[in-house]
Amino acid sequence: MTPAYVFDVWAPPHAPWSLWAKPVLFAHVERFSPELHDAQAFAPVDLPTIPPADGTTALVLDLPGRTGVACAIAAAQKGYRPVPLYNAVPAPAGFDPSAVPLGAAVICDLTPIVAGLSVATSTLDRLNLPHQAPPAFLLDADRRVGTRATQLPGDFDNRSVSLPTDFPSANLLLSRGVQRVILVQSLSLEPQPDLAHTLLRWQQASIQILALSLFAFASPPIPIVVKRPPRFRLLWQRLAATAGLRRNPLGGFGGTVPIPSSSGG
Amino acid sequence: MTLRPGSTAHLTPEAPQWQLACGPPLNLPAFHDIRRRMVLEFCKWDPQVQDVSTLAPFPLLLPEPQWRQLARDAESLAAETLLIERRLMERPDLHVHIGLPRRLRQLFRGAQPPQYTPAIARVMRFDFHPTPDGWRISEVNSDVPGGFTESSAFTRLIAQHFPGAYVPGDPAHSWATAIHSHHEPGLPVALLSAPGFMEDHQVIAFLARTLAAAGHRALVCTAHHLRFTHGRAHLDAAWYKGPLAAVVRFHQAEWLSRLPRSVQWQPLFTHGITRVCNPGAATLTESKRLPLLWDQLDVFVPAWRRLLPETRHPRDTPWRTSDEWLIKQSYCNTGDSVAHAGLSTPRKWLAARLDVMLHPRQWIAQRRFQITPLQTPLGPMFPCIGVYTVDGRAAGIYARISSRQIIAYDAIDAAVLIQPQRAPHDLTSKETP
Repeated sequence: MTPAYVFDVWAPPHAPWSLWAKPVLFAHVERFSPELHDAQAFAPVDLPTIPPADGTTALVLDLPGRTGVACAIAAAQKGYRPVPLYNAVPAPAGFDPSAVPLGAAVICDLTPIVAGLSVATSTLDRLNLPHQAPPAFLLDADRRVGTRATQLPGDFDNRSVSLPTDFPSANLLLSRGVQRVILVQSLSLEPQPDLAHTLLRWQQASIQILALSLFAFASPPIPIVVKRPPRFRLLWQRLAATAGLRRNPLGGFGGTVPIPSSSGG
Repeated sequence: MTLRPGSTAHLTPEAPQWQLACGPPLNLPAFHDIRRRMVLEFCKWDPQVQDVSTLAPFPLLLPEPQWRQLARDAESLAAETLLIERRLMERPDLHVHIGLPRRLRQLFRGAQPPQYTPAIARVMRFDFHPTPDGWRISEVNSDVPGGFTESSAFTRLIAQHFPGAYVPGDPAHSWATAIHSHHEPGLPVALLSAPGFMEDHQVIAFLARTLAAAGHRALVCTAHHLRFTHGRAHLDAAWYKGPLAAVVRFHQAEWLSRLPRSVQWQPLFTHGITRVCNPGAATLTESKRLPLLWDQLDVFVPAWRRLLPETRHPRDTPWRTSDEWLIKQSYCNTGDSVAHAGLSTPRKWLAARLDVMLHPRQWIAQRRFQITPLQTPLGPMFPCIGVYTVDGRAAGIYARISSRQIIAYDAIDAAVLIQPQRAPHDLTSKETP
């Protein structure tokens, strides 16, 4: 399975939402062996209360690891076009996985997602979704905090934040008939602070925002009011949020892994 | 101009030979193929910014005499910029006037010119704009110029469909060659960027691949992984621990200076022995306030004086009321801090005015120039032609186009191809002039 095939299935050239698919993980699929992962782990989950795609509803699946890929396939079976917005580098260039396990070297282990995208490709391909299928945007819920309980000096900091510019604008969504967005998360109904910047812009443009927790997956999506996140619409939001310039309002991203004072040299 | 049989697009025969023009768009399958190769093979990981596709499906065509002129001008500007840089190393008392952050001023104050960390593969990019009065520059990207992926791989892929034209160089290849000629064999090169910025990660990932293709071991890292012993750089990362041959710094100096004191970023600027691309001294000439000091530095900079619009301290111009002036921050990296009453949103204009009032030494006022728009398949667009120099030699072009007169983060990358004047069959494999 070549990266080009995997990418073309998840971002078909003629599907209008494919332009937004983030390509970085697809550029790394060859470095990760899907055989290491149990294909059954990526079997679709059930999303009974998500309405079938009718063109007026879009999804945002903000879920961790392989759960996100599994839900993407479930959404595709309901007629939504998964649009991966995973936007982090899985491993540093020059990294040799035979010397150090990747999971022990990076703050955010994206291996399950990369492998999941690869394993689920044939399933998605068989669904033969129409090009005009409405989008189901996929985000990694662990993007800001990482997947490891502890972070060590020397780790590769590949955390990321979601930005409004990663998504279509509200005007474009509305012009294509999208009137509501359902946010699907594991537990909480409240969006993560970085995603709230996008959802609030959509809400202000009269797109209805609903939320669904996988924990209560049998319940219908509930309308929510997205609160104004810190630094909303500030030009320097991303500068403040990234690069470790300062402790940021997005919850830890950009913070630095402490370096012991004895480690010089 | 004739075309090679089987080419998928045609140069515009009626395009005037003396000015920048837009070529025809590629057909959709050909462009999809290029886009896919860019994202999967050449680390172009931000091909879409909100509703804007950031890769243009058509080239910009630059007549060969124009390219020769731009290349000469860029080389003159690079030499003059290094002269300014050397003078500024000798005059730390002037650093406050260029808007240099305090921690960098403190660092440079304690260093004589020989103690500045040495350079390897010094790269600059000069942003040219066509105007009714000829080419003008808006700035030099002296600290951490980006755009290598687009100016090298993207331009090469587009050029394959226009065999009557040629590429103006391959900046990434020139850069890798310069690294190769200076660096210590056997040791890896570390490429440093700030975490979280995909647009920066993609640049160093591409440069790392370019170095690896040239036979070097290239390692990506953040500033937190660097250690220095007697000025020699080491990497202390989970994937490599040991000495380094060189450090490629794709982390803006003013951001580095704000990192916690436990991070050893200072030897990238002064008292370092391991060569750095670009070294910290490049921060001095990144400032947009340099023109205010030309006279005090007693430097002969004819190319800068000819090509840069009049630049003044904000207090010396009627920028608040006059349409002829815009303001920009002294360390303005993406064009996002350029402000003008007629071009900026009211909110941004107000914020800029307040900031000029509070921090006048962080801003300059520059006389506006009218950029000649290009007619493109996307409508009229304003071009910015960024000419790289590597170790003082012109090395290629990174072009962006925007529907606004200010080139910002959401501009569209375009390949620039050179239209030769001689018979095309002689010139399809022509190298950089």
